[in-house]
Amino acid sequence: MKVFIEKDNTTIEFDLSTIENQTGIGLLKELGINSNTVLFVKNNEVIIPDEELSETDEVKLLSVISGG
Amino acid sequence: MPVKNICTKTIKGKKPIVKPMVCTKCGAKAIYKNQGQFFCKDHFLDYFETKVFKTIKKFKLFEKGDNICVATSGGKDSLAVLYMTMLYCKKYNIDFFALCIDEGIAGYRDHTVEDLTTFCNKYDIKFHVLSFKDQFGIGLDEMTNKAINEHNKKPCTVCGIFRRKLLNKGARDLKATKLVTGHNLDDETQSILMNQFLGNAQHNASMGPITGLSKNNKFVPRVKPLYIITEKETRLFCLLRGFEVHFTECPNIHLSFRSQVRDKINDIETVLPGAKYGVVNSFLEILPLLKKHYKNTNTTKNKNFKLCIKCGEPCSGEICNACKLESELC
Repeated sequence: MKVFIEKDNTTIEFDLSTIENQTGIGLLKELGINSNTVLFVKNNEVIIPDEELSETDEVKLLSVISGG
Repeated sequence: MPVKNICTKTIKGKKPIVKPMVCTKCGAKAIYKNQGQFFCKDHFLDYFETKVFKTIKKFKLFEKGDNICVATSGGKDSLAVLYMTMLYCKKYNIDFFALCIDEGIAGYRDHTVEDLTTFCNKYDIKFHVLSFKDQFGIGLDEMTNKAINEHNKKPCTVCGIFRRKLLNKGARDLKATKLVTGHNLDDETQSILMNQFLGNAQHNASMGPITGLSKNNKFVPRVKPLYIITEKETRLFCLLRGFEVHFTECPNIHLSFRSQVRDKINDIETVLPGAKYGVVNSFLEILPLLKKHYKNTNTTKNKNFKLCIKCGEPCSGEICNACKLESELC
């Protein structure tokens, strides 16, 4: 699964099968990202990260923190 | 027709709990949740706009006859607050305009000013730009090394002092009666706790949805329509409204105490949802007492009416902090 992390301006390949809880929350936990700091976009739609994910999904994590 | 969108959560190895994530109001697919309520796109926008209008009315942030100046950077908070100010002012026939401070931070402010220009042109909003370079001779980037190495000052401190001065002076020169800022619930929670950690109770006394301890015709009162809106809600609002907001983090943020406090608060919010509301709501309960206390203390009374002997702007000593910094760095 492709995951774009806006804060770092990077896209990573993530193997969803490596985590037990295959939801957005599980992914954020694995990446060490606090869910309060990002908008979770799956296949170009904003979702609540409790949703389940599949390997074919394209995920974008948009940072909600800007400025100083 | 309601979308079947199922969330499964396993608790203590028991059978998954099936929890539909649909809008509490209409049953459409939910995209946001807050304090047990789920929102679809349309109901989120309605929730956001209603909450901002209620904040403006509840705290009497805008009044008939006001000339509102919106402090804007082009970032998400300022675009959202500018848009909401526009909606409110058009509805209630109040004058408003935007004011942008260009600090001169390469690769950061230039992008947001570009976004702001596009936005103001689209909605036909009058806007003005004041730059550090024009006002102080050099931009923040050129001040940073000297500030850190020779004066042991963080760039955020320098930036904050110069920005506050220019915003107040700019708004006053443009005959504004209120200065709107994009400060949100996250900013306010951070500031309250930072002042607590640093023992600056008096600073907290001048905070709240309308800043300042007492009226002074040299100060344009600052008001915060996004006071109870979270940072996440603002970004979502901008995204759903189609505002062009590029992700831009100030390159100096890692040097600030605020960023450390922000991370800790977000950690606490994860284990205790609603903690930010808790901090701000309990602060609002004690704020009238803080204001009353510090308004009557001798130190504050004497400080209220001093004017800087160099620039004539209001300050607490003989010379304002901005003029002191200017002589050190510029």
